[in-house]
Amino acid sequence: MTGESSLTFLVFCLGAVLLWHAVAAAGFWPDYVFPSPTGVFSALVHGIDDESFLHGTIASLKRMAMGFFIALAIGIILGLAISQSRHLERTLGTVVLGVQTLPSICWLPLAVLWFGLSDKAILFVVVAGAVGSITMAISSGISNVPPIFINAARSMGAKGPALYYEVVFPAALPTIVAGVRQGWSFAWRSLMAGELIYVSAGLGQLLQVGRELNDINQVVAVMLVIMSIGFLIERLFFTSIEMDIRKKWGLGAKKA
Amino acid sequence: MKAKVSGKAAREGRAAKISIRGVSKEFLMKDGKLSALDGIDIDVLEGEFLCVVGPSGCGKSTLLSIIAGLEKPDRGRVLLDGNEVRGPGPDRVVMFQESALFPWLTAVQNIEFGLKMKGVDAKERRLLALKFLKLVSLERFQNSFVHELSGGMKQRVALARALAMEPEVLLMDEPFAALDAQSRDQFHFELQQIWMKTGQTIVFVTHNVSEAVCLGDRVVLLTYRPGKVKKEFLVDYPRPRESRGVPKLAAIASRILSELKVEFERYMKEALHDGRE
Repeated sequence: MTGESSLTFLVFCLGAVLLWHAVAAAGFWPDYVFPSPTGVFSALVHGIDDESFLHGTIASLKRMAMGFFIALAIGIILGLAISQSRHLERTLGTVVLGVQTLPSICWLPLAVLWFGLSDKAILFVVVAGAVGSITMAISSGISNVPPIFINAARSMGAKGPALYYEVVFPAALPTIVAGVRQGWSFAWRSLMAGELIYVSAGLGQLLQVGRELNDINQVVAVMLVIMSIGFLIERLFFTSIEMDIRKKWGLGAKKA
Repeated sequence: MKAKVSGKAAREGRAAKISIRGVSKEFLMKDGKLSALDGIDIDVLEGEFLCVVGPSGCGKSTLLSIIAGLEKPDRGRVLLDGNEVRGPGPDRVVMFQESALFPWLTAVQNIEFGLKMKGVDAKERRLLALKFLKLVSLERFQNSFVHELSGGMKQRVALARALAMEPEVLLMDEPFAALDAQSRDQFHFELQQIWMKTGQTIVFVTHNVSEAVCLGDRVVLLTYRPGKVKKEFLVDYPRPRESRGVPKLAAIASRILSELKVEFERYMKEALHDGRE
């Protein structure tokens, strides 16, 4: 973001908070239904102060990282396999595509039946949420590499792993990054949902604790934390990778 | 009809760099087989600039792919220095119609690609790549990404990339077809300069007869479906030749064109026939 646009954004946020404050202060609803900015802010400070948000964030991110990398590993293997064989594409590829349409939270009941209310169940849901998008992105990214790139590379003596590493993967990268990004966002959503249902020590549980205590300030504060983490990962990680690809490939600047 | 090494070329006693022997290729279509190439015999001499012309659909690009080893012939074989071609290799680099440059690499990195595959170390790679980029007058654009280059510049980089491989044979598949006339003329001139300097064996496929006559030592004309060698024409004229306005070249071109016209009419007739079905 440029200086000017971050200033615009700051002004917008300030305005939104002021509006929020005004509505809360007008007293249409009791403050246990509609929290005020100050209440949420103090819950935020409290959560940061007693380090519960920090521990929650660490617990959630650890799960996220683990689940996501497992999903990445499975997705790469499946995606590569599907891209190599027309038969696998028609069979396994179709199944993955179908399974991918299942909202990832729908895996949760199955996960609980298999693993009980445990970390394993949550991990399972995270992996299940991400693996479909990643698999599809890798297989379609690879199958859609223009044959002219492959022919040019082979004609220059590229073959075997070098052909994949130097040509097929870089050529498929825009599709792969988009799919991995989608995979991450599905996984993040299913992780939060999974953490709601059990003593998971993650951000999802903090949300649930807030509900149980009827503490709407904590609920909204945790929501803000979850949102910020998601936003940061999108911005710092995926957006910067995509911008780099766009710049190289000349795909035009993304709308600011 | 069988193409023989022309008397004149044979007199020079040059060896055949590439021998195409009885190459045939069929494609499976939904309504049966399509014979793309039928019994092609051509010898390309060491250091020769050979152009292959023919109506679209005569299989000339397929022939080039077969020489490159990117496609396999159904019958017949291709020999490079007497050894049968069994797959693609850096001794037969192809330059394509659209620049097949890699958009994730800069101009200089694109030229380095093949050298990297050859195992040339990073430092030498860069030096060689810059040398060839200079040969096509684009050293200023070494760090540009592909999308930042114009169509003509892309093909220059593609040419530099192919030349940097120092292949035994350079295979060119209508490399200038997508360019404007002015850039094309410029390319014709420069390619001849480079060829005169390097003595590179070149097989150049085009549907543009005046281009073929301007560039080739010899022009082979293929028939339309199935592609067979119909006739060949020697172009004996000093270089560098102008792309247009040379009476002797124009005369050869018009001879080729009248032969080509027969093929073109056949093509139109079949196209109409197909359309009516």
